[in-house]
Amino acid sequence: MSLFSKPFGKKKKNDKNRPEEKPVSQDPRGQADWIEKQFLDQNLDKNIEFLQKTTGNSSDIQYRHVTLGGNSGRKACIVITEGLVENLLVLGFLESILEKEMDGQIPSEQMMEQLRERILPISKVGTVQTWTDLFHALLSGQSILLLDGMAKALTVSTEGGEFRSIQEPTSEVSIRGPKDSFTESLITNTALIRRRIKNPNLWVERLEIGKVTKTEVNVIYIKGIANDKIVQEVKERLQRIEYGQVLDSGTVEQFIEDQTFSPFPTVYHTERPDVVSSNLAEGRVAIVCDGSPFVLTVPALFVEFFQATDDYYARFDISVAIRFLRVIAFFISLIAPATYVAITTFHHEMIPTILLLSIAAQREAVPFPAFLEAFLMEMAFEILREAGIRLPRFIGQTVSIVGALVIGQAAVQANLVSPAMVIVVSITGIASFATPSYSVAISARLIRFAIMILAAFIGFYGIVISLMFMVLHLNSLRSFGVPYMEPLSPMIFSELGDTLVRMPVRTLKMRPKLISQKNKFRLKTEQQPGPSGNKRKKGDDNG
Amino acid sequence: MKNIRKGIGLTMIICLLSTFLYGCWSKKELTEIAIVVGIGIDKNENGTYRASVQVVNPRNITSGQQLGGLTGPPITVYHGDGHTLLEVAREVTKVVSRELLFDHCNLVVIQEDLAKEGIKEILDVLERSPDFRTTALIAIAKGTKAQNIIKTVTPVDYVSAQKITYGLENTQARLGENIALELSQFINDLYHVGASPVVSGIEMIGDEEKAASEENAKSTIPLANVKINKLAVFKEDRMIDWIDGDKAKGIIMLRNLLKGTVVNLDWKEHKEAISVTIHRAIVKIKPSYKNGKPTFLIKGRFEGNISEVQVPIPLNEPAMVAEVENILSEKLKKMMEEALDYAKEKQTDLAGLGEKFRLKYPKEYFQLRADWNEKILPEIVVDIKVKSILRRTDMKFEPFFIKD
Repeated sequence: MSLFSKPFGKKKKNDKNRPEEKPVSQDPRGQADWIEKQFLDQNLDKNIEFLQKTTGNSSDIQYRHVTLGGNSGRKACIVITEGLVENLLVLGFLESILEKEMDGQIPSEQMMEQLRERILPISKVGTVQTWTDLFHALLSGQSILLLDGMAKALTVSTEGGEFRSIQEPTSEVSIRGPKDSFTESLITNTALIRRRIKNPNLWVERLEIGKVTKTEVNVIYIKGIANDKIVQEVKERLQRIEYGQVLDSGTVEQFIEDQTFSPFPTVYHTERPDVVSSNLAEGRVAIVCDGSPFVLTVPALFVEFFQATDDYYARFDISVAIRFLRVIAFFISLIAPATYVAITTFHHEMIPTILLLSIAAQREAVPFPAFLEAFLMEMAFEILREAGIRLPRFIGQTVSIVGALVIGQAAVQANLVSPAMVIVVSITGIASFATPSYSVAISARLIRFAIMILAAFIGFYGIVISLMFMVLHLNSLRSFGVPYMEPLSPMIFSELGDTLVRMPVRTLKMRPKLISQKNKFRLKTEQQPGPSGNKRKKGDDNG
Repeated sequence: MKNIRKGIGLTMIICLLSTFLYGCWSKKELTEIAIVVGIGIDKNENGTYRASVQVVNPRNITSGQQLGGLTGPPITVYHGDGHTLLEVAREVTKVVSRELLFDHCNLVVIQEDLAKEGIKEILDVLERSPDFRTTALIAIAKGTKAQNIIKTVTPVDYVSAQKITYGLENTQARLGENIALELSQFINDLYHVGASPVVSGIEMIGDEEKAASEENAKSTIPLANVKINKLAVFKEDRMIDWIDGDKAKGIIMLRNLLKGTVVNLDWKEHKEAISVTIHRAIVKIKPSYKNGKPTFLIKGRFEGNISEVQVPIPLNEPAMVAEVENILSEKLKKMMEEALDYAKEKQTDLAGLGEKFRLKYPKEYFQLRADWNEKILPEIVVDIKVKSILRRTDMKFEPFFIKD
């Protein structure tokens, strides 16, 4: 426990619950921490002065002074952050404050109560006492109502402003299935999940991480299916993050992942709400990070990275074939150039004579050893691909034409590489795009070079060694306590239906055992439709 | 704990690094090797061996346009002389700039005269060498030197070694008078002595002088060519005779190596009037041992089509087809009997009867082994039973010239 309860998160949690405990103190570490310890003043002017001082008179923070309760009224001030609020909402509640009759003589306490209960036409209104909470509310788009004579402020939920609307997913395109994807708004993202799982057991817990950015993070899981220990572990790991800028879930991922020095990701990320929903239903925990259209789910399994959404929406025979194809493509992208190098430099006896002669004829004028040739081509391909991603779309096309001409045609004509090598590199490149998950495809790209080097030294022996090391490494990985290679290793037969193939949905009766550890059954009854009136026995598979 | 972990890590790194130490050990870049596809072995008059290796010039085989390569002969032949084949192979390096790669050598041609003297001695290196494959086919150069076969430039399949290997496989499957015999099978036959090998012969046709010239490949009628012809009969490791025709087919049938052939049948007074294509043949030899004498039951089952008819036979009647089947069975039986008689006469176990006998009666065989070929074999009683099935008569029943 002592490991987990290090400083930051824990302390802050206490602050929120029992603010009076903390005495005012100066903290040399930064302004944010200094604010943390302070309470609001009774004097409105002092409060406003403090606000202005703390925010350095930032121009986007606006103050609107009003008087409540007619002539004998009391001064009040509404503070908003421009752009983060929905202007119509602010206008609406300002209107009702100014119009509604109020008795100016009543104590401030009562007045605030009245405002809250009768006057403000906004569903979510809260009270804050500390500057920490006030700034948090203000900077996340709520309007603050400060009242003279009160050491408290009302927060009115007026969040809004401009956001990218829900669009089609860009990195995980599917032919069939939902076309929406997450956006940068935490609320929208959470709603997208909630919209799919209308279940009171879908629990959402909000955390705040990032010392500078104060990014909100939602931990979402289904109570009763998710493993409580994993949920606890996720929350603890998130609270441990003590890092200035958390701008994307990618940063969060790197802080909570089990193994940093591994080419394989142990946290799954997706921009598709349907994938997250399905993962939640399997007992995983989702981490939605404000400002990021990618949602993390843990624990991640290796096979998960080969499962595309289309697999589950297409019919089973198609899915089986395509899933299998994808696994083959992964291996091609991993070892194709290495195999070429090994065969042409060590194992000439392994290919048919005609093919050997054909390759030999092509390599006759190439001045480089096979490894160097492969390495050059792979490098060129990687550079092209990287450049293609960064460049604006219209220039990207130019690059691809130049790349195709230079590498496909000119390099061959100049006898720098052999045509066979171009074919191998192209197949490898295309195969690496067949992996649905970019993060595993990119791992394969990295490992490919290592395998190539070993293959150049010791041929197939090297390829086998590197694959063995890869398998050993994969077996050593854990994602939030769950073996990464599950259900292949440890072998869990009831779950093999959704690994290298995807068996019919009605046969996938079990949830991943090691993830959920309770509530294991997805479906308990036989789902095969049959002729009406013909009641089938339980467990009769063929109907 | 930390120290242990460090130690394990260090050990693993050392292990990994050690894999690099012997790296590049058998590394051969494609541009550093010469691919040998065929070897010819001759014996010189002074008793030394002469080996001719056929090396491919890859650049001249594939259409060399985009490679901008030279156009020249598709193959190059190098010679070397020496007392052992290994010495010869090293001798050849004097004239070759690259390392010879024997992995893809598919053909070993042996001079007829050398084969008659016995070839046991030269086969050891081919079997022993890790580079050489015993799946290479073996053939005997008939009436010429092996180097002449090896150096011939042939049209269509520019690499003559390839042409010969494909040709052997093709003629075995179509005509059934020759076999594509792998070196390993050949050695296997010699090793057990219970069987004597038969090997296909290859001869030169046309102008031997021009065989090696490039114009040979460019001429529409090849000036010189290699031809697979006849079957060399061995007695143990010495070649004794050439056979062909039905005798050769019979031996190949007895060895259960027949893949397909054509058999001509007589119909009443008409000689060779019906042609039958055999496309499946299974021959089983069952030995038995009674009163100190081995006897054999040979069961053959052949399937085929009636493919050509030169006499008017009403083939739409099943009885007629059955009759043809009987004639075919008789003929096949006769072919096998002839082959066996020939083997008995030459006192060489071409059908591999001894091998079959050894597998069933190992103890008895080793008693008889010493004079198997000379005494036992000519006395052996063999019962041949043939069943033939004609599956179809191809596109027609009756020939069009049949009269009602």
